[in-house]
Amino acid sequence: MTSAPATPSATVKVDIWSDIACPWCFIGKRKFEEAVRRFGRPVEVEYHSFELSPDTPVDFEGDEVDFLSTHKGMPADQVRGMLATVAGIASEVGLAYDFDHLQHTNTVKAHEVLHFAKANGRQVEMKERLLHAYFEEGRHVGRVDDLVQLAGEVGLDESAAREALESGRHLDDVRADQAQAQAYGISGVPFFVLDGRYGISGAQAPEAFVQALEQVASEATR
Amino acid sequence: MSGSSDSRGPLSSGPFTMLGASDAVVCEGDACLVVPADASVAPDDAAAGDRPGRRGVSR
Repeated sequence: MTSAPATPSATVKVDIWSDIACPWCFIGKRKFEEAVRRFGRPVEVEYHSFELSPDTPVDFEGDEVDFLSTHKGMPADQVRGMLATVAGIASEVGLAYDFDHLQHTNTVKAHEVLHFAKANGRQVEMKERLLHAYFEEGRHVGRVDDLVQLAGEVGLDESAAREALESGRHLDDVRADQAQAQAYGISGVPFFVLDGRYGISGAQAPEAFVQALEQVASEATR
Repeated sequence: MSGSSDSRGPLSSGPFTMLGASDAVVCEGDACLVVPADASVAPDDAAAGDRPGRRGVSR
């Protein structure tokens, strides 16, 4: 009996639960992308919705310091220190977090537009656009008008995006992702699931992702 | 890296076998900006388990 020939080009499927308003998700995304580059073989990514703060108002008036100090009762100086620390860590992976201009908001509509983008083959591009808009450009990602514009910027049909958002067509998809996360016991994001069998939690070093991808790929070719 | 075509159907029921460092930084609850004073992302070439964890703390 002979073993099946290795198929090094076999695609590894990675399901990622994350939020937009999640600084470690963007940092983890960059680490994961570096790992995929080093891995060098096909990786298929699907993003899933996870709302860290579903009770956040869409139109919160104020910046991140205001939100944390007024809503959470944290001293403003402490908040500024925290933000500076996170921004410094983000810069280590090439991200320019701008907390001075970040517009704190509810992200459920952003998750809906991600599902709209997935249905139209542009989810990966939409995810990157939303994170960049939120953390680096100070763009609002909670309102339909802003999300429609961002959808257009990644090549999606704006009128179709507007219809999907205004009708709440993908809200059930968002809730299904969240229910799945709860069923899995996922309490923090980013959370990566490789080939439906292995879990990786958090903004890991690229080497950790590479090792996991190689393990999954090797098992797939046995 | 490509986007999903959703061709593989639903995920398994879990639980998953966990890989990587068990204490990497995550966002939990409604926030994730409180980080330990010595927090830093591990160097790119560091092994997953080489450094202590840097988990975010819910505010």
